Amino acid sequence: MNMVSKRWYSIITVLLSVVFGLFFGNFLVQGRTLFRAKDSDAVAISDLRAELAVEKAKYEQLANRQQELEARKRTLLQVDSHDPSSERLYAAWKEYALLSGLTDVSGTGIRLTLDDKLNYNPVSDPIESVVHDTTVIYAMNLLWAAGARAMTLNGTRMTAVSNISCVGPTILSYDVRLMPPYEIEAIGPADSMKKAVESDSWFARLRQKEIGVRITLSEEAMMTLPSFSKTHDFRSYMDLLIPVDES
Amino acid sequence: MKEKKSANNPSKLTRYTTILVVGIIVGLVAALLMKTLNASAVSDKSYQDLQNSIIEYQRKNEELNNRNVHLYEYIRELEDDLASGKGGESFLRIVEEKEQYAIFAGLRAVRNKGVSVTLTPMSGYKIQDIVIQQFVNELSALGAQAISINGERKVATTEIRANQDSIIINGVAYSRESPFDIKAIVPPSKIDTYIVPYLETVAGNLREQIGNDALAIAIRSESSVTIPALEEDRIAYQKELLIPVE
Repeated sequence: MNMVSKRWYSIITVLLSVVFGLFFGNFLVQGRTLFRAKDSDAVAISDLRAELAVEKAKYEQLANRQQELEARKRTLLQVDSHDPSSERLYAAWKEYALLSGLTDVSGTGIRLTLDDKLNYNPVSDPIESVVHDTTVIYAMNLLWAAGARAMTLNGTRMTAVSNISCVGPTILSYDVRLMPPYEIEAIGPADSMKKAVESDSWFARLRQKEIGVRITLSEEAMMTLPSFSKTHDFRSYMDLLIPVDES
Repeated sequence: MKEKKSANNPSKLTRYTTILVVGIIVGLVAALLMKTLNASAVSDKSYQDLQNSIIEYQRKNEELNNRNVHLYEYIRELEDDLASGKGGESFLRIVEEKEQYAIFAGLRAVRNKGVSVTLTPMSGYKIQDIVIQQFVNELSALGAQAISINGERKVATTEIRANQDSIIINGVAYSRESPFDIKAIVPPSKIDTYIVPYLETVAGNLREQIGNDALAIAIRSESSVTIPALEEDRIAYQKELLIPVE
């Protein structure tokens, strides 16, 4: 064997042994994860998942209970609506519930989803690659201007007191922390709302490869948006307001 | 001579075995390091996400629970009214609840302590919609329960957007060269200690961005602010695209 062959032989041996080491190390780590499932992180995460499942089940139960109570309340209030004198009042009650976002509503609309750039790197990617509160507010303003009549953000109904702000990398809506993707559902003229998003220059910029915000838009022939009361108690958002005619 | 050479140089087998062992150790360390870093990053993120989700659900559950308690009491009162034959009581309850909905929707004029922000453009400067939006969003995030811009009540469907020389609010055009007066009812206990100083900071940042000569910003604490109701001819009253789900 000449000198050159020997050198190549050594290099190949080293490379093969490193590759073998990588596989072996990986195998060991997998084995460790498999056999040491009671690792402290795994236990903590498992506990949190269980706690989350309990909270979700509680939420479902409370939401169902609320639906039953709302239905019961409507039935009781309707008793008097058979009286012609209170028929108009009952109609106004229903109209204001509709305008205030306190009833479920359905209609045609669009679903707009905004998500951070895939594998966002804070060092190399521009700040716009992350969806900010301003991006969500901008999108909503665009949709209201295009004729949207009702809207939700990640399932929560927007109302006269809706507030969206930013804390660190996440967005707060009505003081609830939201995680991306941010899904905006809007009932209204679907064509006009879709055109508004598609032709908007700021959205075109966000879609560019170097920014890479992931935007999806779909038209929905029929969608239902939940009442604000399914997620929040509206009375706590109007306790500072004194009606002027009562003063 | 040959024996001496062989004693100084390890055999080929020993040499290759050493290379093999070192290679395996290097590979092993690299694999363990990568896995550990990756696993720790993933578990930190999952942990944080899960904690956030739990807090979010706990908050929602608390609100729903409060609402259900209130509804339950309300239903009991309605049932008592019906059982005792007080039909008029139910009538009054519908009136009361209708008014609550109307206030929440912004269909009634309201008053209380609050703040006002006046934006006055200097000669030639046209106010940008984003400046008004920023103050409105900040006020909402600060807990404002009612906001008006030039007397236009902010409701769920209110848009604030520039269109050439105007800014459109609730479908009404306002000149970008005229002052804009934003009023809000906010938590009274925080007005002087937090809200006004915070808004001054926002104004200071804006002045730095657009220049001191472009826009005058005046922020005042108000002992009584009246926020008008939404005008009945505004687009927010159009509800033909909404089907109530009974």
